Amino acid sequence: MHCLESVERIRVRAWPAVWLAVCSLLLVVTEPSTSAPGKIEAGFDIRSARTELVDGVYLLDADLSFVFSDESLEAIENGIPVTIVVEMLVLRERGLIWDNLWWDAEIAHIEARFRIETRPLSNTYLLRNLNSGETRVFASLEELVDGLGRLRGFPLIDEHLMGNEGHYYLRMRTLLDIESLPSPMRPWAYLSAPWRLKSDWYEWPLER
Amino acid sequence: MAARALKRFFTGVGPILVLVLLLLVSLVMMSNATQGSARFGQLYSAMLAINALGLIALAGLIGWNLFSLLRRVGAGEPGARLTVRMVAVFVILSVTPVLVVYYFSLQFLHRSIDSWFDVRIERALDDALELSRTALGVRMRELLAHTEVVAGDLVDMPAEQIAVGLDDRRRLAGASEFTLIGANGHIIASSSIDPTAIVPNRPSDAILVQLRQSGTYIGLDPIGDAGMHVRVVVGLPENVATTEPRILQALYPVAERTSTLADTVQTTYGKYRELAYLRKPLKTSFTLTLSLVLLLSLFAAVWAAFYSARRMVAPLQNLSQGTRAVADGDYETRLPSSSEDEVGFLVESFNDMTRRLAKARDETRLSQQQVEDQRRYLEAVLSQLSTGVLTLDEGGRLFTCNRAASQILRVELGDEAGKTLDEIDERHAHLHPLKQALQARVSAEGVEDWREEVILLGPTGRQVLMCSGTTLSASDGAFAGHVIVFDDVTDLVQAQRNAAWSEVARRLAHEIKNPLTPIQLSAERLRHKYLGKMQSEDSNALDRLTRTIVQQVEAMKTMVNAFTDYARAPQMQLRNVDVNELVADLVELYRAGESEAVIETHLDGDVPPLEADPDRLRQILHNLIKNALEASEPGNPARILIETRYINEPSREMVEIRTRDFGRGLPAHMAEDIFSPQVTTKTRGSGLGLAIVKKIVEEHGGVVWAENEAQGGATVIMRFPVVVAESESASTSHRHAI
Repeated sequence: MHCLESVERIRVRAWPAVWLAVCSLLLVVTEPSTSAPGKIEAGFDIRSARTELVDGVYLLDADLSFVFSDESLEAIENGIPVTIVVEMLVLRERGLIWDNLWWDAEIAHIEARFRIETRPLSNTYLLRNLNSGETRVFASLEELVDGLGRLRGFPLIDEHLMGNEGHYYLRMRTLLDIESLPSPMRPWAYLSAPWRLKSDWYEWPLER
Repeated sequence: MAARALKRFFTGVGPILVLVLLLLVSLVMMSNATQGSARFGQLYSAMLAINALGLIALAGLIGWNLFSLLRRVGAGEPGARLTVRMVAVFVILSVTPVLVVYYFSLQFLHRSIDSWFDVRIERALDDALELSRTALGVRMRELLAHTEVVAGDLVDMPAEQIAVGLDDRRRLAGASEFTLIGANGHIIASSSIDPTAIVPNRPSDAILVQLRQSGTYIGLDPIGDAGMHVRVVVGLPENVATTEPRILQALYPVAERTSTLADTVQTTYGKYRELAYLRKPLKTSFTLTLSLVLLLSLFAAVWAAFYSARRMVAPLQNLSQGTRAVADGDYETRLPSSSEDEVGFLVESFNDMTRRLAKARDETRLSQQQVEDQRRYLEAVLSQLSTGVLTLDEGGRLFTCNRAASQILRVELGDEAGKTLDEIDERHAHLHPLKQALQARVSAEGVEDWREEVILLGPTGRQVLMCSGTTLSASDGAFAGHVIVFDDVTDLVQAQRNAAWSEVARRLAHEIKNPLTPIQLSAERLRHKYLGKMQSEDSNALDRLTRTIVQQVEAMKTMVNAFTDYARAPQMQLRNVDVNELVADLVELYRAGESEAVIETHLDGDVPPLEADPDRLRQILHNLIKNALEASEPGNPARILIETRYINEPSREMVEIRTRDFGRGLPAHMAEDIFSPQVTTKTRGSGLGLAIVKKIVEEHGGVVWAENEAQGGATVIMRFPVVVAESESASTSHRHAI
């Protein structure tokens, strides 16, 4: 039950897709990531991820890497709340009998949302888990990024929600949610490469 | 029908108005979202996308309108250039004020946003934040010192008393939670103000790292729902009894009033910083919204310009097309009347005009039909007339003619329409006398009605035409040409003449012949009775006198027989006659006789056989030779030249026989009447020789006339038509009738 509560179906978020379609021409002329020589290029990455079945619930441990661009860092420092989304899909490989022949069945779509805020009074950074409401305070942004990158024991899916047949696997990615930015920033964030921070899909089998 | 209604709906103003309204609503929502409205904030991107798509659709619509307009201008469609001018005027009139408003709105907007930010407010907020930090800092330092004292107390405390000691000290310190944590992070003891709290709050790894670095940690953290707390973490001094390092974490609640104020300061400061950071994006965003509004207004105005221009030009286009249709002769064009304004009045006037034109055209058509019927009627009448009718226009060109005219003149006059008399004469030489007569009349001024007899020698022989003519006047009285009416009176004239002269001859012969026989008998009786009784001298005289009487009576008998011959007009025996041979035979007879006359002949070998009565031809030639001999100068041997000639012209073939003497010639006043029976230049003879010649020539359909030669003497010229085979029977019967 606890697991079910934590599973949140992702909302239909068609607007980024619409934006990408509308602005596809503009994207061609937008500048690439402005990374200085020797500096780590901005971007999100998933280094490792694994699941463990504990008491009938699959728990996720993942090591994530978040390298923010200068633009996003400047926004955070100026008190703009930035939302990071960890998107997870539990999929079942398509079978001849119980699935359609074209794509794999989606068993669960989970979205963990974290918001990074600043606290000017104490000069600290606050990481708020928007799913659970839990907050964590960090003295620096680096500490916050480290803390965010260590995802431990995230409840993924109840074992009973999966059938006995078929092979299951997980897909996961992290991204900066542009739609959560203040509205005046959104058009340019969609058009600007430093704001389009997103990891590749990371995929691994669900060990049962 | 449904498709047309659908098309009308989509090309009408409705869908565009709906689109523009939707875009306006969307822009209002977007504007609200830009200003921080939570309700529209989530829809901001959608609004922006919808607006962008809507504007692209509008731009596409305008582009299509522009493309169609330019294509119509290129094709030279009526009204296209006017549409361009109207669109240009509308666009300039609508776009200019919008651009001016846009410029000033933009300026005003940027200044308004800039006015939100003030250095003094910013400094005040910084100071407020600093003041809060300072106030909290003093308190936090006190709490740190107190916590370190507590930590010192716990160092030597036996393990079994630690829980109680911790609780006592927490109560004394007014803390909400005290937690003693071991080296590996396990909780040794904990005391909380909340009895339901099972799991104490743990310091984060970052705090532990800072603790290791500086020995203490003090921070202001929100603890769950309990509000702001001061977190103090200190390490316990090491002692001999406990070898493991321990840390003490104390959580002190911040006073509610202090917490609220600090929160307010922090939130306001944060909002201000956020706003300051969003200053440029906000400007850009407002500019974007304003630009979208501008573009929407512009596009809507431009589209409205196209729509209005199209609506205004449409009746003019219809008028233009209608005018072209009328110019092409389509008077049934009616334009749809769409409005009550001046253009509508113009359209109504156009429709009225086309109605009147159609009516006038119908009436003209009817009157043309009537004229045509009249013309056909006249043509039918004229074609049935046996009288030839010609009309000449003002320039003397053949204008119309009827069938009888062509038949009489033996010329297909229909082919000669539009030609002058000279041109017709060149192609048809036998019409020359007619041309001369007509030209004399046509060119004469002041002659309106005239009548004249014209003699032609046509393909079928001599024709006597009785022509009469008059001038034609147009409706306005102006000269419009001539009309010439003519009848072929050849047969009539000939018959009348023949009848008259036959009657004269017959009566003359009768009256003269009756006394001749008694005279002759009396003379012979005198001779028989008294010749032997008289003396020789007297008898000689009587013999001479009675012989003279008898001879003269014989001569008179011969003359009377000649009259009888003229009047009798026996049946002609037509056969093919070789004219040259006939001439040669006759001349040979004269040469063989006692005559000293020199008769020369020039005979044309091409002369074809002539269908004629050879006896009569011989009589003609005999008469002419005799005449020529009699006309010769006395004392000189007579000289006669006889020529035959074949005349082959396009419209006629003739055989000409010329008999020339070398005598005194004809008196000038007698040249034309020489062939009349009562006319003679001689003291002897009946005077009928040339009259008989003319009679026989005319019986053969020919003509005869006499001319004086310049070198002296006179020539009698006869022309006989060579009748073609197909008209042979007709001409034969014609002559028989004569």
